[in-house]
Amino acid sequence: MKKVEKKDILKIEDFLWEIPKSFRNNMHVPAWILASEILLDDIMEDRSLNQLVNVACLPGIKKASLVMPDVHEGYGFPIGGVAATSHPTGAISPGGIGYDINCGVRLLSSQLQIEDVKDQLEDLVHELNKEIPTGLGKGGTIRLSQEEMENVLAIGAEWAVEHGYGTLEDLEYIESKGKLADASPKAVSAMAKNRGHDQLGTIGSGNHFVEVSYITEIFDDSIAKTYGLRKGQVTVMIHTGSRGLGHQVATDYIRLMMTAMAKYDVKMPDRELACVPFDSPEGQNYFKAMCAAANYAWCNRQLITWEARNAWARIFGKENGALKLVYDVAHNIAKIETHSINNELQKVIVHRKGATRAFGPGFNELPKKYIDAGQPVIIPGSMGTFSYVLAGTSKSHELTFGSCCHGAGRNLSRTAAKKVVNAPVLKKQLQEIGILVEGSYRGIAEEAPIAYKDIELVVDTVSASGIAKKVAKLRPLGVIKG
Amino acid sequence: MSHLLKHTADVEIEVSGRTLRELFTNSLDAMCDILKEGGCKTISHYDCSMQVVVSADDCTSLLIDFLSEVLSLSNIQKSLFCSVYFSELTENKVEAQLYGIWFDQFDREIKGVTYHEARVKKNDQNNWETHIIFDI
Repeated sequence: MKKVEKKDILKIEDFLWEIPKSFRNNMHVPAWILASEILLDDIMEDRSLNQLVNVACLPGIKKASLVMPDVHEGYGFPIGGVAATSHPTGAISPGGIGYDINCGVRLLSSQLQIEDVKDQLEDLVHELNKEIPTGLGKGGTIRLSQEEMENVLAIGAEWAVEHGYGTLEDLEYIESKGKLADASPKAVSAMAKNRGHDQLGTIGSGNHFVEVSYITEIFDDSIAKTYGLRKGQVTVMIHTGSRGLGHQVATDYIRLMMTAMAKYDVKMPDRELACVPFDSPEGQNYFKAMCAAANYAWCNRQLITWEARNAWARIFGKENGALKLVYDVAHNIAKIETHSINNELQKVIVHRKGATRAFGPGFNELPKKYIDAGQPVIIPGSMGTFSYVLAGTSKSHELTFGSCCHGAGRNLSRTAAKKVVNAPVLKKQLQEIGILVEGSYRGIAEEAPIAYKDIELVVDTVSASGIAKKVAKLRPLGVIKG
Repeated sequence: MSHLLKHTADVEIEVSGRTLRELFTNSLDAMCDILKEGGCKTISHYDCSMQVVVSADDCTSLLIDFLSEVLSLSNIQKSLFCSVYFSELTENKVEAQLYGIWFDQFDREIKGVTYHEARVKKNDQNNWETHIIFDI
């Protein structure tokens, strides 16, 4: 298949590039790349853009297939990809959401400043590591009965709150209030439920983590104040998803759709882009199962929040306040949303795979407190680099279906990272600059800062393009790796 | 035989075998090694046994679906299935008995065995081969 070269890419405006629809005859729309020229050259090193061109072939895709500046090669969809298909007849593709359904990030703020915690940081990281199960195979402390599992899948984070693992206020600060109403537990296989019955409250492995950070810089005083953020404040960030349950839902439905595609006369250039019409029985069942898995993920992050709050209280005491939920946002999900396309409001199925929703001010679902500021967009860096809190803008609706980047984005394979990184040395070097890391040496090497793009470049790009604005910069203090 | 290839975010392997059985066995070995490096090398006994039956339209789907099934069982049973006996293996159907050892903790979590770039075919040396990308 024809490889994308720089000469095939047109500059549309600063930070926006286009591979025209004419590049390949099966593209329904052009492919757009949101990046600076430096990042674009970097992106061309792997096969991300060819994958982006394949996404432009999805039946019913609208306006353009898009990638964010943190894009890297995935399988089927590139990671960092966004595609909106027409509702209800356009395609839904499990590959456009990924195996880790509703992988996402949640930020908690504390009442303490860096000076208040630095002497007890080691104890805190140790306590968090003890409290929050990490790695594969290690179950959590909660074992769901069949009935409880059905409830978790149906109501998501609400289940956790109903059972004392959070507050009603927490729900306000979660994307979609931590529950997708279209979820149907019946659409989730017994195998998936079996995989998920003991994994609530666990992080898993790979790039998942819990990180203690503090705010080093505020860029927008007014929005930071609205989000309850201030310079020097200590925060806790949680990054994980729907664990084995979500992985199994994706596996089940990709397999099903590969066979079902012929029935709808759909042909895609990559098997991992298997898709069916959204309104077909297979499409509807997948969407209901995906919503259920998304609910499981929100419940999971709520349970981890409860664990983090317990660890925090044991170290600093209840008098130093609980950790407050700033926001929780998904970055592997499909949502039915309304966007303006060719000056006309249209209902679309927005696939975000490694892309964060970034809705601007005025969006009704946002907590009342945030409605004028826009949605918080949480962008984690790697374990040794800064993370960012951004705010969604109205420009993101115009340009990217209300989406933004989701992290720094990898630029080194895991194998390459292991070859160049000496994990014990890295752990010590990070410790010397005040960043404590708990995790296996393999995990530390594979997720080393060198394996990721420069987050400053990524965040500067989204900020300069206008799809999100910088609010706060966070420096890691302690990381628990999955 | 299998070896790792370069992939930015995930783990990609190239795997081959003189027969279909060897290709399936080598692919399973490679997956176990990703889950727990060297985990199958020092075993003296098996803790559990499971049966899998998978059908598919073509050989590529069959291999990926077979590995996905074993991966799901590995997660549920918290076992590494180091050995396999195929009672039936054609290009469209596999029936096998898996033998595994229990593990408290794996090295890596495989989120999915993907179809991306997988294509089971015979090469110039008449060996079966394919690439497989595991979502990590």
